[in-house]
Amino acid sequence: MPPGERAPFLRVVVFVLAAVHLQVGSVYQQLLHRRAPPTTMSWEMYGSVGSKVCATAWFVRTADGALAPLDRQAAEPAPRRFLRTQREVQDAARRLCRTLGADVRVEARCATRGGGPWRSVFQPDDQLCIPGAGL
Amino acid sequence: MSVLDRILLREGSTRAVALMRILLVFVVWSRWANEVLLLRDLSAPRLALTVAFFTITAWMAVGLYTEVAKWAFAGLVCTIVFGFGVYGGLEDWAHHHTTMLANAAVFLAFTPCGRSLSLDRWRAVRAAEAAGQPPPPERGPLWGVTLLGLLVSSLYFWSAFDKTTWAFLSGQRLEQIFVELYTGSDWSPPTGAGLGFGVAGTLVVLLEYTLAFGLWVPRLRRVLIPAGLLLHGVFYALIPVYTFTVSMWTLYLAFVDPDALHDALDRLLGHPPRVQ
Repeated sequence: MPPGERAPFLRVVVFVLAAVHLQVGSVYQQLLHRRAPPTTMSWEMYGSVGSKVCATAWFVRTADGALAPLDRQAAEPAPRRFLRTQREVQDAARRLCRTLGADVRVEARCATRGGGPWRSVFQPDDQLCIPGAGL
Repeated sequence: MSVLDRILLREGSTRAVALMRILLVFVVWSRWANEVLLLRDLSAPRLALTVAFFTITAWMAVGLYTEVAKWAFAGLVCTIVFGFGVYGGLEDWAHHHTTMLANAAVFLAFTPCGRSLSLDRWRAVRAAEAAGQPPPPERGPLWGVTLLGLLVSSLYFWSAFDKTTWAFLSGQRLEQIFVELYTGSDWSPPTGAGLGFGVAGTLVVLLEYTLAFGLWVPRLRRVLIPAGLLLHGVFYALIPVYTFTVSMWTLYLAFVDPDALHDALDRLLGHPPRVQ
């Protein structure tokens, strides 16, 4: 290109507008925490996947106080693949207590909305088989 | 000459953008062709969409009168994403990966993507032969390619910025996604799993920040392009990202030296290298 040559004005305008357009959605949503214009993108990908799920490890407390691992899927008559709230974990625990007639314990963490960290909701020390316990 | 002038007056081989033209049509076909089949919906707007979809995408792929086809293609993809998706209520058509395709289609329209690997090129070569002239050079302005590159690096930067949280860097978000997609709620992490998720989460964020800026540095591309392609390959294999991975792989052509790609294709076809 010859030295001193300048880009056409219309090309400059289109380029700058396009470059700005690519940032608008993210600036709105991520910096200003406001809803982005519908034709822009905030590039918050996979932000909601896994944001409403609990991870649980199940145990039966034996007479000597030890915790034996429990396979909830095998023990429940109609187990749900996902427990999504603290309440659903507690309800599952109660069902297992009744079905097995055992002291069922659970270590449960639930995701926090908006892509936050795990929140511990139950520890094996919590006695969920007793009516009124837990929540 | 300012940096902006240098970007906007940049010229080079048109083979890379021609490849993008063809590959983006393939991506659009794999994303929507099945959903716009005639049997899906016989209402007037959807019937019009079906006809336009298959006509315009095929027209774009073969590259005939591409100066018109590329704008028709951009208009088609924008209509699908914004017309039917965002404003028409078809939410599945208005995701990140589809909006990225719409942006890419528009930016591609600012390039001479029909000047190579097209029926336009074939006609130009035939005309030159008939006139006893050498074929016209496969060169043109490539400032639109810079926009395609900006699309890629904006996506990486803001995606990494969004993930720059303790939840993601510590691996907790990755573990939540793993539970959602793979194990269900019965998940008792084995020893070291937390550390593994943490390392993976931190690496993803670091790599995305690095790609956002590093892809613009030519000497880093030899490392970063394979790293980025691998990252998206892993995403493709592990999580449902639909056409996002192949779109990104296609858009990486924006960071390949167009003249080097031109020469590589010549060598691949057994043609002598061009005189520089």
